[in-house]
Amino acid sequence: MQISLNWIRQFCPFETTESPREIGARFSLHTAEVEHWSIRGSNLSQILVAAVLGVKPHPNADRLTVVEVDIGRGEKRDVVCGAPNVRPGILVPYAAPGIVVDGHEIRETKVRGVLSQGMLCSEKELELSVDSTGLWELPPDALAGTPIATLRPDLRDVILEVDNKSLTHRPDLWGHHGIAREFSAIYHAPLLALKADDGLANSRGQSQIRVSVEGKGVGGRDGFCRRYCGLQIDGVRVSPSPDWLRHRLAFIGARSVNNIVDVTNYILFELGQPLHAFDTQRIEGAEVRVRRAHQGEELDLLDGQEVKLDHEDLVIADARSAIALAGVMGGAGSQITESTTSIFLESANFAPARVRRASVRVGKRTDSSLRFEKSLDPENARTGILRAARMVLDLCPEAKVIGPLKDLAHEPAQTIEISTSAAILTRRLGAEIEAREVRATLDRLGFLVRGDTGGEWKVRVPSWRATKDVSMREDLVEEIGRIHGYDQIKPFAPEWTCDSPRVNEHRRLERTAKEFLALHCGMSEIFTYSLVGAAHCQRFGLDPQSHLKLKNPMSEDMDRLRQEIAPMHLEKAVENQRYARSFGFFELGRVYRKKKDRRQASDLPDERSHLAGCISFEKKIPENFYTVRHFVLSLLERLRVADAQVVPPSEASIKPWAHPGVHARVRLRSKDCGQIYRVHPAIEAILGLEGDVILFDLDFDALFESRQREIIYQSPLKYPTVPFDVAVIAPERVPVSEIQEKIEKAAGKLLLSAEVFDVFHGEQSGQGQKSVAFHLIFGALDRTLSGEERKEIEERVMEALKSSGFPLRQ
Amino acid sequence: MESVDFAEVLSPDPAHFEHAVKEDLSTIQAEFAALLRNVSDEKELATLKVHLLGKKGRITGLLKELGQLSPDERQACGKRINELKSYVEEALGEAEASFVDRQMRERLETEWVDVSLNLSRRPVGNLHPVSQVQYEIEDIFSAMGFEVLDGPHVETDEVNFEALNIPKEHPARDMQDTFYLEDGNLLRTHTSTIQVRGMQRLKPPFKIIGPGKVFRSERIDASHEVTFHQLEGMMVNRDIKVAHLIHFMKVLLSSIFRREVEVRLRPGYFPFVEPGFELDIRCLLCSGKGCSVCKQVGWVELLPCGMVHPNVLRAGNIDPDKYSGFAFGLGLDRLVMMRYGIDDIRHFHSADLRFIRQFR
Ligand SMILES: [Zn+2]
Repeated sequence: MQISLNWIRQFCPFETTESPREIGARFSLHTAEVEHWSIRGSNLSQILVAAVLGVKPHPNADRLTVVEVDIGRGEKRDVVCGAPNVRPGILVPYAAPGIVVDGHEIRETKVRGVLSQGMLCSEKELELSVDSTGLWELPPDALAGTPIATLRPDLRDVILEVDNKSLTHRPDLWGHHGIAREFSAIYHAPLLALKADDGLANSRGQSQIRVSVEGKGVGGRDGFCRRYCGLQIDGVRVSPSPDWLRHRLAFIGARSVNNIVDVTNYILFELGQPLHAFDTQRIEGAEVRVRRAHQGEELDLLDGQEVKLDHEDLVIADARSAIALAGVMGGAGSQITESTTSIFLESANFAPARVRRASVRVGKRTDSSLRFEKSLDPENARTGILRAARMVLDLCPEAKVIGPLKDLAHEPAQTIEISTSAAILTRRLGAEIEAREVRATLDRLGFLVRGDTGGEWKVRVPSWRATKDVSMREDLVEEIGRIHGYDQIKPFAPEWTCDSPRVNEHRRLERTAKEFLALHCGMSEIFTYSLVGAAHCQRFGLDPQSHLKLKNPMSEDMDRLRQEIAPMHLEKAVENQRYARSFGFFELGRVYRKKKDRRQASDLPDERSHLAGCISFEKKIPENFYTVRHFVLSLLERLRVADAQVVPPSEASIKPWAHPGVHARVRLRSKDCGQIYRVHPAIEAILGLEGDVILFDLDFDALFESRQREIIYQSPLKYPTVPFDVAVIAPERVPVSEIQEKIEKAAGKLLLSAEVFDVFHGEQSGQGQKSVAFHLIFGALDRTLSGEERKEIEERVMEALKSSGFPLRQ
Repeated sequence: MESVDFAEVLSPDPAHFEHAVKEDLSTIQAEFAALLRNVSDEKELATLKVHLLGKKGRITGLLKELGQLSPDERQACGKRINELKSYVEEALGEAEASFVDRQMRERLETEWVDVSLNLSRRPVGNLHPVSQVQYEIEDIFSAMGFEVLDGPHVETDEVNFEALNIPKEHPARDMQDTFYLEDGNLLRTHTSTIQVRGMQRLKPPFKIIGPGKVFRSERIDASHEVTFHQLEGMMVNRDIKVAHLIHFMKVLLSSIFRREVEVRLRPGYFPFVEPGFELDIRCLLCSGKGCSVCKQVGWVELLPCGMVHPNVLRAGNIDPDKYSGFAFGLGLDRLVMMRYGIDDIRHFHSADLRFIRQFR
């Protein structure tokens, strides 16, 4: 919202030596954020009144004219001009060379071969109008040579632009008078009240318009309309507004339409109360009904759009049909035209939620709907309409109010009284503020404080703050704090007993895991979206229907919650392979599944944390799988996960995009908790992946649950150990673990460790065979093994291997 | 160098002994000296040593056979043989030392690396920059006694809105474009849900933070994302004041930016706090003089905060007459963008390692 300081000063003549920027900053600190500020009319002291003496066609351009002007003291200038309304006898603004107009410096220059000594200006060029085409025609009694600033001192102004979002909770700040009240509190300056001409409410005569507010819609929290004021004015003449009114509206960014519409807008920006003017003659059956719309009822809005209404919408209707969407926009059929002679002014208080819903539904956030949805003060409906009527009468001397004010369904804002004291309010702030200052601030903001200054208070909330904004002590704390200035509060630490916080073990484990993968495995952490589309699911062989769907997705490719992370990683691997071949990344993210036995609506889906990784290797070699296998196992070791095992895959554990052969299942206490695998060749081909892409995916919540492996200390061995190497021939696909089990079983307790140190396939081992070499260490905790003992174990091991069908290799 | 057959030259021949002792031990000495000069490596040196001083060595042999001589001869010969032995030992020792010396010199001369050559390409990984900042802030708060909490991404309307004093039809729901699920739940639009769940679980006094992912239905562009990260903080105790909030924010921000930062509170409206504030920091780029980053204002809006609304405390089963508290929300993505001058929020979810790996 744009604020004119001239307009503010009309209500609150505050004094300050601050610059516009500083005024804006102060307002931001105390009330609401000022996003921009601008100075208007600063060049008007240099722009002069010029009388048009003669107009000649431009010799080289059809649309241009060469205008001779008198700029005072008998001086004359020739100016090339393109305005359609230039003609001898009128007075227009003239900018001499060197003056900056609308951001451009005027220069004496030849225009199509004719010298132009300056510029004649339109209102738009002087920022006095949002949309003007011709030159600004000045009043005929102005004197050539007079600076415009002297002629119109009101045109020098400062405009502050306040962020609408920071006014969300303040219905009273949507007009200049409310803003002026803030200035009064901030600058300790008086505030002039907005007077309504009460006499007009009791005008004589009888309006032919009958007004009714329908049925159950009236009043109450869920009511449609909390007040409806209407007033008929006859004898109006619709014409352009006077300059001062047009300019004032232009300064705050509003378009001038005609005198009647401009009056309703003026009151909107002054008081924050939206009004609407109907053409009395165009109200069918002379009847105004405030009612709910019929389902499917149609209405042509005055911006030319036709909308279909909903039974939840509130409309203003005449005897035949809807003529306005209440609080949002009037209809085209009943709007003011140039031939209008009688108007019916409406100033109401519509239910915020209704207005908001309707405006969102039809896509019209208007100046009116923006205000209604903030819960306006019902008192303003009456004040607004009476001030508007007074203005109409001033602008149209022949106009006459017909009949008394129609004021229906009036439901005053609740009276709210808050018990508190200066001490309570300042204590919550943690600041020392004198009770007198606290009370003065509340006074200036319109609160009625009863009670001794130093004692208990009853604070009555003014009607314009009582619609929902202020209702409790904490709200008053804010009033005092912000006007006093939060920067005046000295910060300090609260008293608190020293206690160590509870550690969130899950998050700590997450961090340990992430740091391990980054530092030990050289992988980088990435984030991917939780949202995927059906096409993505299908591409990777997942059923899109089993996914949790969004009701209001932004796009088809992000319309449901993922159940798997790995497919996204494959897509990201493709993207990264454009720049590099060898890399690794991981993500600790969540996957989401429908709850199996969902009992009530508030039951949330199953969310599980997964730790998934993807490593791209330069070449496809078997070692890659073992590298990733090692990463995963050492990670589990680091996380102190107990009883982890890597076993061959089961049918169910193999994901559609995974290679079934180069594949391992990770098990924790005989429950599956993850996989390590190469990407399936078919997916590899579809995606165009190169090199060797190995993935892993671990159910992190499962890891968390079995993280409690304890460290059991054993003193290092005191007695020497004995190494023994043995190599066997085994069929290609017999897992090494199977051979090792035989060794372990045969060797018994004296086997301290067994490690595979060599595996090779080749001619020596025979077709379909491999050779596996183990490095065994024997020893005992309490003695040195004797030569016989040694020999005996070695024999046992070799015998066991041979009898299990693993011939020894020499 | 030619190899020398010591066995041939210095064979321990007893017949030779007579001659040697009787003739001149100095001849052996001369022969040895000549041989030693021709020795070319440690192995030859060792062989020479064995042939002279070994168990069956020539000098050893001479000493053994001394017994056959008369006492006078024995004494005279013994003395001379021992002199020869010392001489040989010393000479061999010197030769050995010079060989070790030479070898060391050779190694030092030949062993060399090209420091510009990168043969081992084992990478150093890293955490996402948002995680890094998140952990940094978690550490600051943990040190101040805050507990770290989290909650589900999919939330109920109750937790995400109602319990935060944002009833249906409240205009504040407009400020947050919410993703709704077909099952009636929604994706949390802020980490304030963690506050709500924290209050339900903990008894005051408590200090909590809740970092996490949040979701908004916004059109994605350089400054808008459908997923980003917030860190929520909350402190509840008897008699918590605005002055305490300002204190904590100053400590926090000075830690984050690693220097004294100037903060200011402005009135700000958020339904879950009363009073509510926008916290600005003095623009770090221009120190407040005004620049494009701060839109010439000298201050940068950083985070919303405020005193917890009594309705929110009530929804969390906390009596607002006994307890008060403050809460704040920090946008982690924005913080990272500010710290590194990143101009496009889309990088964070791009998984582009050219972006991520810069933050090692
Ligand atoms: Zn700056």
